[in-house]
Amino acid sequence: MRNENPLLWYHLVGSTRHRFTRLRVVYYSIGVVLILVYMTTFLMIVNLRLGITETFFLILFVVCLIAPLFSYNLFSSEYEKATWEFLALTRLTAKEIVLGKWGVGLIRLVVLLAALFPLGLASSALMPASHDFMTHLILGTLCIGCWGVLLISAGTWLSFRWRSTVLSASLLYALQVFVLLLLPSLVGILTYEPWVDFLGTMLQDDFSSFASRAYFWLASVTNGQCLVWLNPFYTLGEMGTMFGRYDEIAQGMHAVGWGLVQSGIYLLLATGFLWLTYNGVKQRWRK
Amino acid sequence: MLDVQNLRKEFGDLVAVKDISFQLVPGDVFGFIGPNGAGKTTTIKMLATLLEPTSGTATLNGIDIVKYPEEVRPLLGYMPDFFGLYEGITVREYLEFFAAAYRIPKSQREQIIDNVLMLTDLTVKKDAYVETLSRGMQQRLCLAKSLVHDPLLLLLDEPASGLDPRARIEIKELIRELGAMGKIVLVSSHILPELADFCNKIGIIEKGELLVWGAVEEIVKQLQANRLIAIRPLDEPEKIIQRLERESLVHGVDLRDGSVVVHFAGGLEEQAELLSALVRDGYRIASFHEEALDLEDVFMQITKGEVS
Repeated sequence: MRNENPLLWYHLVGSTRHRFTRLRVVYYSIGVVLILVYMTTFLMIVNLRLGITETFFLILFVVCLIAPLFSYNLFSSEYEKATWEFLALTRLTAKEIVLGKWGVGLIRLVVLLAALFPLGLASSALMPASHDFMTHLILGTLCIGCWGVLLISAGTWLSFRWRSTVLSASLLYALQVFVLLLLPSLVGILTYEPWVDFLGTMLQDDFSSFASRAYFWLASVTNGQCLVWLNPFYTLGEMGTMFGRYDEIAQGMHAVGWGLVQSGIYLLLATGFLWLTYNGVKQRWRK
Repeated sequence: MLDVQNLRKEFGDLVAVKDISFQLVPGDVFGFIGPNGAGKTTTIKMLATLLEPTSGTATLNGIDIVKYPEEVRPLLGYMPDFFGLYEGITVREYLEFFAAAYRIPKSQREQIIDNVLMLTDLTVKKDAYVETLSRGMQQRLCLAKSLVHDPLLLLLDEPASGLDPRARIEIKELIRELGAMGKIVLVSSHILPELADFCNKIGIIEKGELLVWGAVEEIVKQLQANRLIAIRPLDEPEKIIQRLERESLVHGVDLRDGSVVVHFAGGLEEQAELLSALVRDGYRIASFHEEALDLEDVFMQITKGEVS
């Protein structure tokens, strides 16, 4: 028999429902504002014929802003409200506790992505017929989704590690600013190479063999370019090149699995954070 | 049965709990007494499997709490001195949450929760939101949560702290009832009158050391080897004090509110002889009686007011 996980119910329904009942007017007002913003954005995309890349940037920006809110307090609130001991003493296993909490973040992220998906769909529908918009849309959404999953996992671990809601939220946003803005600039300055040109040069190779594709990615680690290429904004930006052109560079990007590899790495890192949290719960809570 | 053997906890150079041992059987209500910082909470956390002991062990119904914390946890209920509650849910939902977390089958949950609500006198508040409850009611809800899975051992750390007099009395009654139900209840406090009423066993801890433990009456009896005798003389007490100090069995004499309090090492025979000797010597004595020790006297005699 599959064990039920009460944590999922509590975080998704229990705590939210009462907050909504108490602050009904505030929630309705926020809801109306969000719908208006959403509709305006939708119309803007259609009227201005906003490209799919720009729309992806917009969606990714929203995910970067909102996804941390789904996970920054999952464990820290247990410590701050002194409820963790009760949870530790129950028969829930470390796996159930971590997956229950992480699962809450994931469900919320899926809902957010589902709400934002029509924006991407609208912009991709406006692309020229030559553009493989469906693959572009799926790969872009996958990339954004995996970045969101990474944020959820990192948030879950930070809130467990630091036991402070304020600190884990601050760290999540600060790390994003560092990774998405400062790090690529730093790499650009240190290597004296404009990164776009660098990618173009690297993509001139022949990628017919698996070894050459693997070398492409391994070389990016040794020359520091992975710090730029793993940036989801950069990944999405270059994805526009990949699907919008039919030259050597676009073919090279297809060959090296541009977008897919980055998504895989985000998921790998997310799994790492999840494992750290699981291990922490096992040791600290003696589970 | 709870069997604690040489339980020890060190935090760096600080020894918080020094090799304490005691045994409790179902139905025992054990008062764990000690000043703040004596090591009560550390001991309780070790028994609750939340803290790993540096050495020593404890078994509950034969299961080692150090080696098999996961097997012991379903057998224990824990109420810390400071705790929070999941907010935004009703009292019933809160208990359902823990019933599910303790893997109580859905078909049994409603009945169990009703029983626990009745026992803790929270039935009328079952639909109230947790955060709207008073402090006393939250304490009772925490106790109700600890009882949902019908544990054998209940660890209650300062359960009456911060409660008003009425809530204190109610929680004491509840603990007494739990003992009568055959549970092992370990309740800590630094306020003696709180425990004196309902504990059948006590343990006094100071500086991490369990100075004494056992049945309340036995401990009092042991300490009464050095009896206190109150003598009320009609004449000036100084004269009788000088006379008493010459007695070999008298270890000390104090003057309290006109009465002479004698620390006397003899038994009933020697007491009778002392009284006869005083009367023979011409002292006029209005009253002569042995003072009974209560839990506070025991505590004061044993402890020095030090923390670990």
